[in-house]
Amino acid sequence: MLPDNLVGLLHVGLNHYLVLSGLLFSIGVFGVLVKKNAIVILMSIELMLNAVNLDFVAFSKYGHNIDGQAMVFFVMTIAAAEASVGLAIAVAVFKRFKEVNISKFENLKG
Amino acid sequence: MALTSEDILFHAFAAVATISAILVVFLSNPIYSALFLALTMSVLSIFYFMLNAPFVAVAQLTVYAGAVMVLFIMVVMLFDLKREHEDVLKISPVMIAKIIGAALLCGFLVGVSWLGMSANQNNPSTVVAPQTMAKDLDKTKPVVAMADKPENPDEDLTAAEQNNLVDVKGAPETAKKDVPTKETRLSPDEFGSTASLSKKLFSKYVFAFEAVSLLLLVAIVGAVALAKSRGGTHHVAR
Amino acid sequence: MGNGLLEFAINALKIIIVFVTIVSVVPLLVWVERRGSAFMQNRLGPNRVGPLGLLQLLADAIKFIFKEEFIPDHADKVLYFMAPGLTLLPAALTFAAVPFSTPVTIGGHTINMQIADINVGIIYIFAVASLAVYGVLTAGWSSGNKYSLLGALRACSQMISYEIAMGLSLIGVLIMYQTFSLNEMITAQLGSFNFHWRGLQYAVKYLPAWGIFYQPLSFILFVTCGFAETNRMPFDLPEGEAELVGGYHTEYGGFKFNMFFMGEYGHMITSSALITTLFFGGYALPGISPEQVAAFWLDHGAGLAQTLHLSVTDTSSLMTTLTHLLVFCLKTGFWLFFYVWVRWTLPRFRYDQLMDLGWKTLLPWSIANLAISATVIFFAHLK
Repeated sequence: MLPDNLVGLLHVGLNHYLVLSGLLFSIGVFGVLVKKNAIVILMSIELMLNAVNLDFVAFSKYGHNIDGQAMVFFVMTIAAAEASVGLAIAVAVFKRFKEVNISKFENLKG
Repeated sequence: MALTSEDILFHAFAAVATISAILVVFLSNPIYSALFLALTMSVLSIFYFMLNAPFVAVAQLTVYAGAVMVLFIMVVMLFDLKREHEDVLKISPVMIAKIIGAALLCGFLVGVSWLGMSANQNNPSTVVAPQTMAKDLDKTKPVVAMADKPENPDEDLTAAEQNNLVDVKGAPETAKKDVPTKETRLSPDEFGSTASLSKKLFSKYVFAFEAVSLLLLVAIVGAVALAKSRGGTHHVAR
Repeated sequence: MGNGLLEFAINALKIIIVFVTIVSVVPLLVWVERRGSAFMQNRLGPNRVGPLGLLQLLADAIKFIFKEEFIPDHADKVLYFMAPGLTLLPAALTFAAVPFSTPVTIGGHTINMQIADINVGIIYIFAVASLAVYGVLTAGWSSGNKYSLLGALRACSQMISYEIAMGLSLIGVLIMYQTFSLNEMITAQLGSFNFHWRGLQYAVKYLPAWGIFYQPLSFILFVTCGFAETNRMPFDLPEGEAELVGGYHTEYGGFKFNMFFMGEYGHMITSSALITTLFFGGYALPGISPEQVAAFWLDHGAGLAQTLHLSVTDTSSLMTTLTHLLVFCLKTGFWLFFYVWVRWTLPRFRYDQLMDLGWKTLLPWSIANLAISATVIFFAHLK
């Protein structure tokens, strides 16, 4: 029913996962650059790490090497640790300044 | 080759994941951002199931969607941030530079992958060719479908990799066993199973495993030290 | 394509049947709770509407549907509508991996009595159950009410704390069964209690090989954490009526309130199903293997086969499945009654007592259980 080359393009392969991961990563980068709320910036960092995880697992499957999944294990753990410490810092900042908008913390800006 | 249901599911869920990731960044209410990020992570877990990585999928749901995002949401609720009025996108030169930068990065990543896609349209599942091993060219064993392999197995490796290959007989065992050939590949079920993943984690990556658990301990202590409140019912009398 | 469509239809039918069963078992469970609690408190409970008060819940459901639903002024409208659904969703999703009975073979097709035989079954159930926090959080936040938010945050921190102890307490069981798949765990619990110690086999003939006899501490820890996860007494501070008005569902009325309770009872059913599967042999009868039941029905099922117009093997397979389904329902039903029993027997924990119990008692004991189990199993397999 669909033209053959379109089916070939749509049939899921490694590159589809890479495209999706690239999209998610760049959306995360956009979030880190543009947003002003410290918590949302941390969330965008988590999004970037997730995109990288997707890449690792896709390569692990299509390269027939389980090292990719082991790498994901470590990335996940480190991301969780970083999220908790980042949020602890955000909580400490909020308690002191009652504000998490990073445009209010520009005292050191040259 | 026909369009399987897995393809349709992949494209549907990819659309959901991309749209909810865009909403994470574009919505001004941080609670909505957090909830959509949790949705993105759950959809990614579905992708991991499709990629024969069930343990990673379940870990993604438990760790990311079930713990990290809950932590984010709880912190946002404690801050009582409803709507960031200053978070509206102001069009300034810096902002335009940022948008162009992010767009360039997106174009680069997607373009590289897309180029790879059209080049491998006929054979999308064998992008990475399995490396041949010297032991597979043992002439005493009947060779099946290996007639077109080069005489010298090291010829199709790059010069850098050739330098890394020690004399085959004395090659380190881990390097030889690392990349499986077509004959030693596991079935899809066995491939992503917890047993095979944990074999790798506890043999090759055991130092990293222990280091990461130490890192988690440090993170816990650090988070408690940073966010601890003074006073209240748990104030320790000196 | 035809075969794929048939499989798809069977799976869709299984999903619908399981979901409808959960939704209709919940009113029955509420009836058990109200009558059971009444008898425990030396009163009668609802006995006017219908025989033994069974239609009371239908009357309540009709009342809920026709009640006026209003939204509080400061509520976040989108999240307010979404929260009950978010509570019900994980409760329903966890049922995908629970095996209800043996597979049934009719006319050459084998249908698994399990929606999805995932090979990481038990940790899938944990992963989806950990998503139950979102319903509670969004309900508390979107109500626009200080008490709801406090109740929601308390519920959330309670659920997260007890998830850890629950997962760790099960690792002893997992080391023993060497698998995550619930089907294989049930198969491992057939036969009588036996264990390996340094090359010799020991057996106790009159005990079934159930998980509770191998891992009693794990069982106690898991049941306690199950109570905390489902926000049931004695851990129901988040919804305690005397403490926080209604907790996170204060501002909900009518059908949305009903959906919260469906979610809570759904979690209870999942918890009871898990307890039976992990520790009490699941759908298998103690001491009688499914093959023996199938053989029994082969011998005695001829008359039934004639009335149903099926072959004798098909009838035996069907009756085996039904027998095991009945056993599963009885075992799960007992544990559901146990949940109700404990609720009306024990008083509620205070919040700091609750958190201390989770972090300072259950967690160290789970880790101790893990260490002891691992050591014993390691030495048992040494020759």
